[in-house]
Amino acid sequence: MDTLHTVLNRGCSIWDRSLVPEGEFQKRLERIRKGMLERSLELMLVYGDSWKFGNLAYVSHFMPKNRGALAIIPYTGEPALVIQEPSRNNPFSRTLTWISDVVSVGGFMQGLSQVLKARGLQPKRVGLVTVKEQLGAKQWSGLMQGLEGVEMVQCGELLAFLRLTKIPREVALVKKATEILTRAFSILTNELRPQRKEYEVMALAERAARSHGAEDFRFFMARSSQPEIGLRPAGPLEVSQGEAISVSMAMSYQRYWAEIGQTFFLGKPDKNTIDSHGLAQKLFLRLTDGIKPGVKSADVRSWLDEALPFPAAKESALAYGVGNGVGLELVENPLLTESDENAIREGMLLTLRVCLQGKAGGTALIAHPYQVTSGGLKPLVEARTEPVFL
Amino acid sequence: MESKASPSFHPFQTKVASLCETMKREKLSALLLYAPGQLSMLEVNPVLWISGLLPMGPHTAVLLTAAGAATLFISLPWDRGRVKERTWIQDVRVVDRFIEGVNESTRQKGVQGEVGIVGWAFMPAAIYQGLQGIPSIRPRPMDAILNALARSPGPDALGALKRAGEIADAGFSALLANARVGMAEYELAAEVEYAMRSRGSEDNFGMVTASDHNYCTHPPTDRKLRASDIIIAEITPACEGQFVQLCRTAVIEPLPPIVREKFPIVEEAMEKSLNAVRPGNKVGDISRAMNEVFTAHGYAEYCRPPYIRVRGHGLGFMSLPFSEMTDENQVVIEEGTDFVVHPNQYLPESGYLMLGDTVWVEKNGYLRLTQTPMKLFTIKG
Repeated sequence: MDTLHTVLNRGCSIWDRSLVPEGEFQKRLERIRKGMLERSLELMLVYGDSWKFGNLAYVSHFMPKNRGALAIIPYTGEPALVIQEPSRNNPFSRTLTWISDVVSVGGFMQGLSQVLKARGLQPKRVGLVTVKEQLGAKQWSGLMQGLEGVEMVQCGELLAFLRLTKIPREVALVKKATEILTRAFSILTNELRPQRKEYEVMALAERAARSHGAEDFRFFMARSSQPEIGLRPAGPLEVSQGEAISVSMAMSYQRYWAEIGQTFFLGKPDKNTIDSHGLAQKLFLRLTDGIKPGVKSADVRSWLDEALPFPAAKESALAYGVGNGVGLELVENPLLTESDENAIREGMLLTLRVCLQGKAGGTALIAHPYQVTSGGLKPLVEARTEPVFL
Repeated sequence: MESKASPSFHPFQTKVASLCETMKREKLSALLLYAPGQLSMLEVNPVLWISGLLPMGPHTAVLLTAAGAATLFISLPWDRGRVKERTWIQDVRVVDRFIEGVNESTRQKGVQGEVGIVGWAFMPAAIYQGLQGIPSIRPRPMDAILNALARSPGPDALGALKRAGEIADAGFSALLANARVGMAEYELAAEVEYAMRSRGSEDNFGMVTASDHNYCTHPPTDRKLRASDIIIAEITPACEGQFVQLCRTAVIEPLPPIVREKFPIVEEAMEKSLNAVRPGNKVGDISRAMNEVFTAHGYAEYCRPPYIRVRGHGLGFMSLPFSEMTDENQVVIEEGTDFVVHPNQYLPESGYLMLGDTVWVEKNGYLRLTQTPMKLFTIKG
């Protein structure tokens, strides 16, 4: 689920080499170069910014803190990383990536030219991954002037394919993020109470996450007293007795994201609210039971039709999305939507999510990450589907 | 002109009128004010500025016709309720495919010819090319519009700025109260963050860094604090889209003599540069006042990259009087603008030291928006 971006990825910013060693990136590079060979590419450019950095981090482990960075991968020779930042930040940026050739510049063309010139490269055919889709028009324009006459090939699908399944080291990082989030949720059990301001509650959860190593953190909530407003950032309103409050939290730990969602009942909820949560649970259990290797993403739609008899509930669940891949991005392939052609494969990590919010849909949220194993889904930590009664 | 009867339209009325005048002058049939999902503290967010809505999701934009009719495009269907609550714009459309949405809307509204794009620099190239492919319109980058119209947040913003200033003070107080030997940088940063977020800060451009010799400020790592560490903090909370930045240095005792000796230079630079903050002066005057102090102390070469690039900057989202405070900046300082002045300086003997404050420009000078004393702080070891 997309969330509100923050102006700076300001949490614990490290690369623990024991968790993802350099050898892993060499393996990724080999696979990418195989794809480059198949596409006759002499060079590949992979862009990421502080909001969406999945492809960039996959090749470099680098995450831009507030602007963007461009990985330059020649078919032969070492890759380079061009970061849009003041040059004094260069030594720190080097601590976050295995790439040794790190160039800090104001504009990407300047950095790219520098790297190409230093290596004597004059590529005729260059692959692009999330460059056109994410790089701002001004920087793109500069880049294209510098690469005039070069054939550009969109090849985002190559990295999308390589990132579909996760190795155990990646699973461990998402699991670590999930454990920290679970701890942050347990704080809410004690601290979410009437007269507390929304942002006070959020701040407590955020502190729990950041003080345990969160690299970035997101917090959304939806309230039964505001059925027409969906998940949103916490504000200055006080929480009230008798409400159902859905809380969605997400965080990254050393580039890897996790998301958890849960609903809290402050006091005795009315029958409609209980029924709404029951429907959400029914669909969630259908998803966890039904998703296994070989199932098509699109098949999920029919389960949604079965579990949610009311159009409003169905519309809400579809709007938030019932699931997606998770890893270097909070939302990545596969997307459990009708239009996604990916089949579920062993080794994928998925966030499953049922969010019902609206006048007719009620207030209910259940979201947890799962690993796809040969036998079906395995929760990364114990997944709670019941509401929390406070 | 399309608007709610709600008084919430009032603060935007002048902006819409100014944009309509600009369209008339520039012979534009419409303006598209665009924001990507990525937020930047150093830019005015065109969508927030015109609509009151802080955007979420990949593509958000306001199409404003020459007649003043506004359409807001959002990409997250579940965000519609929040959007409706936040903005004066009644015509809110959820568009799964942004270009198709803009195409359909321009057709419905009879928009033809040149359409100014505000937010072009950060608009993904693929989106800009998509707009260029719409046959009935010709997109024209017009980011400069906001350089002229969004220099000041307006007098009504002073309340939010002062609240953000109080929150920044609370954040730095939390740093002083919590820093201790053995604590990881990220744990300390979490306490600073908590102090500000629990008081209502909407975001934070915040970095807390510690070392016996800092080369730059950066987000926290897992390094454990030690005695005599120099902690440099750049913290930037926001209220109602208004940012206030505070830069300070604190040392865990015992205080290294070299820091005690060198910090007064930074204090002198702060004082002299603040004296240059007054309407009519140029931004470059402030920067030069700062650099002259460091130069007089023999640090001229440390006033340039890679050590230092800018001496302050505007703080974006809702307004930006100028981007960068450099000697060459000829922008004239205007009453009612705000920006941060920071003689943050790398000195070869002490490493990077920080001191900086956000100021609100008044008729005869400036108002500091924070109360934290402008000095070097020490923390018991």
